[in-house]
Amino acid sequence: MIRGIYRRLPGRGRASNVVSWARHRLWLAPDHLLSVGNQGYTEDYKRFYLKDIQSITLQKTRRGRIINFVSGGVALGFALWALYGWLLQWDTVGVWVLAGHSAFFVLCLLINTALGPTCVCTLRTAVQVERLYALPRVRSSLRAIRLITDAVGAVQGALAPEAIDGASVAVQSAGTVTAMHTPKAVSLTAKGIKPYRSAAHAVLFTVLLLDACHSGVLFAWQSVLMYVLGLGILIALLASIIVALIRQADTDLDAGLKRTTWWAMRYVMVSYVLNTAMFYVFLGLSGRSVPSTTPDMWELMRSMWMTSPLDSPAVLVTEAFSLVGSGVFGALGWAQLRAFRRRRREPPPLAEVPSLPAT
Amino acid sequence: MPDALTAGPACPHCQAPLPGALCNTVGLVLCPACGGSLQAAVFPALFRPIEKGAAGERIGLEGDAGCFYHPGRRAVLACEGCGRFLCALCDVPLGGQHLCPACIEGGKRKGKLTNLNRHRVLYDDIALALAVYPLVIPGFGWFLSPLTAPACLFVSFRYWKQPLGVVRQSRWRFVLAILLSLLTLVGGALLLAVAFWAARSKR
Repeated sequence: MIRGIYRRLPGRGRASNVVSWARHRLWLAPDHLLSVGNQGYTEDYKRFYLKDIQSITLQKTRRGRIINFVSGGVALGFALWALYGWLLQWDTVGVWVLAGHSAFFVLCLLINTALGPTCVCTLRTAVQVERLYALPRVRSSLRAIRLITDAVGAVQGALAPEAIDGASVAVQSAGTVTAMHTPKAVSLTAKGIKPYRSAAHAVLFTVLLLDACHSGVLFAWQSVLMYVLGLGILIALLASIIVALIRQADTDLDAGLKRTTWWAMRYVMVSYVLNTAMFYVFLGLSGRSVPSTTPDMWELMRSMWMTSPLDSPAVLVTEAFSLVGSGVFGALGWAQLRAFRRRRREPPPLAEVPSLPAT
Repeated sequence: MPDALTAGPACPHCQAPLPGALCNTVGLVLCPACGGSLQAAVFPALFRPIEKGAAGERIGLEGDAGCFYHPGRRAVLACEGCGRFLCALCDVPLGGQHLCPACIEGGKRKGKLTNLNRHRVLYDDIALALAVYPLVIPGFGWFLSPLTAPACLFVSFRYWKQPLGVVRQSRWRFVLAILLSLLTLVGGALLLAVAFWAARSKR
């Protein structure tokens, strides 16, 4: 689509940070690239002049696969729930509502699959590195980058691969040019990677340790209050893990700590699925033992909550998994976080002072 | 860090330097260091030294014209906005024009220089929302329309001449908002009239 001097480029996306939910699009003018961020009733613009663009990079990410995994898991959960209700001859409307929820998440999964793999695109000029939020999918990004490349090539000319290698070597070997490029590149890196200043990871690992303690206490004491507390811990865990993953992006946090956070997320997901499966197994077993066709759900859940892990293998497996997993991830995370904080507090090594010649 | 040291193309994930054969490819390639899928479009500007800003040249000959802002410097061209003579220092090329700092400041203040706009309020979207939302919100929304319809008309006429979004060319949202508001007001008035007439005929 062409509007005035602008031609709309493929791709649209949202800024995936907590502060802004602006919808982004890219428009190409004869001499510049315009990034439009729409916040509903206002628009923000960023212009990148074609003669200044140094590079555009696309990096494939796993976000799409994670979305598919989560959508598929939730859809499967609702489908199993609906199936269970149908087998126990629950109210038809309720079963259809559950099936509808499952269908919604299946639809999300299908749409996400149709849109294709996800990516992160960045544009670099001499003074900035900007993320292009309008290009979140690989397929549309490749088309958009091809159009931008053609436009930039018309202004700047093209580079052959040999020329890139030669130019890189020339930049590294030529003292004057290196002096010109290196501080600029260092400042760009400093701008791209932010210092980590957040308590999100501390909260996450504390909640994980709390979860481990909670699972440990359940071995000795079962009550409805403990399960309500467990539900609260689960909600806090999900919220804190999302915040921690958002906060750690583009920061100087240790790679090991970032990896631990990602693995903690996987652990929480597996734990959630395991708990849900245990719930259905328990309800299935109890439902079969209840003679009436419409069992009292509250009574069933209450009996599950009051079951000691030592009395039921299913509960034992889930609680032991939770105790070990949360304990390990919480303790490991805290240890890594403390090491990171200690390293940051240490002053940088002093430069060697040249010794004075002996007189 | 390698990106900082090489100043050449680098993998966005692990920052390892990318050989030229992996740049400007048609599809995705694998980073030789981390194995991540990527594409890097690299342009000559990456290896171009930063241009130094031009300084105004001092007047050497008796007949040389001086810059309006720096009388001691030689004028190289006239501002395309106000016609004042400008030296190389005062000449600001913008959107294919050569302008002086005063014209740029004035243009930015009045919103006439599109290339300097970084933020705009979308009054046409606001007007359309005022017209549409009360109609689509069931129940309570209808009671709001006697307030929102005049507000929509006010916004539409008050900001009709304000610049739209940079990439927006038509004012169809304003037109649609005005039509919907007028329909709402006329419809509401007719409804009231019918109710009044019915009440009167009952008496």
